[in-house]
Amino acid sequence: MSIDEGLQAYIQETTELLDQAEDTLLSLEENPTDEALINELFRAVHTIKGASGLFGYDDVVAFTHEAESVMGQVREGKLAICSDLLSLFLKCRDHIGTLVQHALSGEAELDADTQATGKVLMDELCVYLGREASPTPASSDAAATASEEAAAPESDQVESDTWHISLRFGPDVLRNGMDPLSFFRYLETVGDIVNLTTLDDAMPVAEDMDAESCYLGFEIDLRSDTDKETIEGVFEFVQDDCEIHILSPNTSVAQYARLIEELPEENLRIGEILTLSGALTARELKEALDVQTAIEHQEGEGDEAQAVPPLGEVVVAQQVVAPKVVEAALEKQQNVKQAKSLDSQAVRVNAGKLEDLINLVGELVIASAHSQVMALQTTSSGMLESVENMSRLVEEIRDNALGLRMVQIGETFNRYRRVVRELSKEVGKDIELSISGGDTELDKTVVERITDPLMHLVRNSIDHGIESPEVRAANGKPAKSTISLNAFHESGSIIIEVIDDGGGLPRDVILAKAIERGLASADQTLTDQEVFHLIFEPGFSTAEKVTNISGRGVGMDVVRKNIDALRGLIEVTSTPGVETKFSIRLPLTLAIIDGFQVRVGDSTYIIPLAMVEECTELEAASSRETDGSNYINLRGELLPFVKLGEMFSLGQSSTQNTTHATHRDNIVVVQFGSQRAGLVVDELLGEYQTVIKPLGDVFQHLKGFSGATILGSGEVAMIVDVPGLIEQVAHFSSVNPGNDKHKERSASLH
Amino acid sequence: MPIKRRDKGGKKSKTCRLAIEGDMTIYTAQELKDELVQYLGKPWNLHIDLTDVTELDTSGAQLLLLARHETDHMEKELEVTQPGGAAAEALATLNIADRLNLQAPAA
Repeated sequence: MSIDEGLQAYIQETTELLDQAEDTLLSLEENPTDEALINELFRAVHTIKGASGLFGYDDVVAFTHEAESVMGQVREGKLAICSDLLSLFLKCRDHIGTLVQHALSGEAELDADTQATGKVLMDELCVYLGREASPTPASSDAAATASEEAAAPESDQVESDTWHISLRFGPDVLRNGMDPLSFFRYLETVGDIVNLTTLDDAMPVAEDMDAESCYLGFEIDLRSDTDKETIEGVFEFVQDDCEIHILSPNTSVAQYARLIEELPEENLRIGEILTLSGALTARELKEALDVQTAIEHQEGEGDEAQAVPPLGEVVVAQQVVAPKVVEAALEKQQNVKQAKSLDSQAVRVNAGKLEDLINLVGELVIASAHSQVMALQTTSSGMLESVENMSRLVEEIRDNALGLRMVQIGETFNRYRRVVRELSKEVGKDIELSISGGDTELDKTVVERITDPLMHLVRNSIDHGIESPEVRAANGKPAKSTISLNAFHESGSIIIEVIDDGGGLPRDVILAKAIERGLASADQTLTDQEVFHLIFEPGFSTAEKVTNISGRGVGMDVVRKNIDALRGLIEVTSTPGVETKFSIRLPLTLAIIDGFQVRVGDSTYIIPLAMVEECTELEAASSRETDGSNYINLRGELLPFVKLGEMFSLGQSSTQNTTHATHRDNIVVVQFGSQRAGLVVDELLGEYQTVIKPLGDVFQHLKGFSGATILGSGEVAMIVDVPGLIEQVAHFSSVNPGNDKHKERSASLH
Repeated sequence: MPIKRRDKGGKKSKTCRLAIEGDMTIYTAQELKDELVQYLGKPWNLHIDLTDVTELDTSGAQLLLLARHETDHMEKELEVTQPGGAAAEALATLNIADRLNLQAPAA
């Protein structure tokens, strides 16, 4: 229910009740002694008061309360209905209507006319109330308290200039439409609330708690020049539903002692609150408790049974022995609690600040590399050692800084539980989501950007991957199907798998569709993997019917695009009738990597170290050249390789020509996913911490590079895009080995 | 569903992040409590975002205190993101900001 709805209900209800009150009053004119009618009138006015109280319309509440009090007198038979009274009630009813209208208009001040009418009516009502010989129970209490206060010796007075109000609301307060908050707001018009403590000690455990019952108590310190009756008046509407204690300023210590004893909470707790709120000083609290003990002792003497000292006495005993100690202990307890909460609290850091830090660490790494180069030139061993030390520390800082961005992927995985549960119901399949490796960590940015692609894959699995229950039953598979999400680390990458135990990918259907769409030609021989990869082509969908989950042919190409953007790779494997597996391979981080520095011609290149498997010499004898496409026999295995120099059209550099006699080519064997390839370079320069600088928009379509970095010498080195190169190399070797013309075409395409 | 779960949930999650929308008044108290109870008494830290709470009365505040009780019982943390306007005033009046570990909304 929104505010507007609530307000609508209020307006409707009050209008009805006011009409009802009018009808009742008119009927009363004829049957002045009809109790049912009087009760009806009382109820109507009472409900208006309650509802207005809920919305904080204090003017309405205050006036309605007076009217209600007089009606209460009538109901109790203390007042007889006469035509004067009825006309007063009718005027009151009209005035309540005016006040409600005013309250709804949202204006703060009543206009003078309304105020005057209200005043006149109030006075008349008071006459009826004042006629009663016996004062109300509340005021007799007040009188008693006042006399006691007066009788109390001056020295025992608590030095306080505030009223102390203790409230313990009954369970039905909220249900009856009263909101303690609106009383506090009203109280603020009477005086300044210096302190308000909400006590929730009476709160039961969650199961037993009734949201519509009130379990709260309040200790309020009010600075006000007003008298006790005014303050009591604030709470008069709830006095039946609420335990109220009001202590005036400069109340005797004994009064506080009684208050402490009367309140349901533990004595020490109340004492603590009173001290904290400033109502009592520690000394006064001790005195209060002392007085209490004295009283108890007096009572105890007649009793003879002294074996079990009452709780209050125990507390006092502690207080008397060492009030400071108790206080200090309480303070300590609180400090410990605070420290504990600080310990386990994570520090929230602005993402921007973290970004700045990582950028700075990146610069630091570059600067450290530069100083290393400079140090090497000095040949001073002390200098070299210190630089070596520093670069080790920088490396640690780099790892730590990057670690800050690492988050576990488990949270992302768990997000799909609900998706699986809801979608599986929607499509009528019984699917279980099994998750493993949720604690695998990877860069936050990567996690954020992988969420949507993963969602696509999961939805696809639910919709297409898993067969309908009938098909599963026919194939003798268990009715309950499983989708697994796995994450694990492998050679500097993280691998995320989405596996379903469904029917597998229909190779023939995909191929037929691809041929129909012109994505493949009928005479091509394609491996399973290549066929499956066709599903990532834009606009490709084999689903016969489009459902609202998937099948519109958008999605898989977006999945691949997203993963490409993360420098990742997606692979599909499928066993017909058993399972389909999507493996996504992602780099751990996007910012800094360990690189392997190589020289080709006159330029330096960086190969991500995590992808380097081994380095070996390229022997002319072991290589078989087929017009630019190269293979070597590496321990009995055929390894395709590319010459980076040719690849990047560096031509024969000056160094290579002049040093040809002594020159030997090195081959760096790189692995990405399940594929390997060799990169032929001129020289191996060793490990290098590489801060990846993204290529600008101009170079975005440049194939073969994934970024650039700045070397210690200040030169720029390109970072080799190993996945891209492998794809190219593998393409030559597997799709059209020996088909030179075709190969050249595809090479130019790439 | 006036209570939305913002984190991804699951056994491994250490903090349960909830967001409450709309009113926290006597009209919605029972419904909110029934939803809230599902997240209470669990061994996780609780974060309740009240940014989208428009109205809050004593019964609403009482539910937050209930959450505090339950998290205390499990020896877990509770954090509440401050609502705006009238609801914030209500919490201020009741002086329970510290008790609820009230946080200013993130900029």
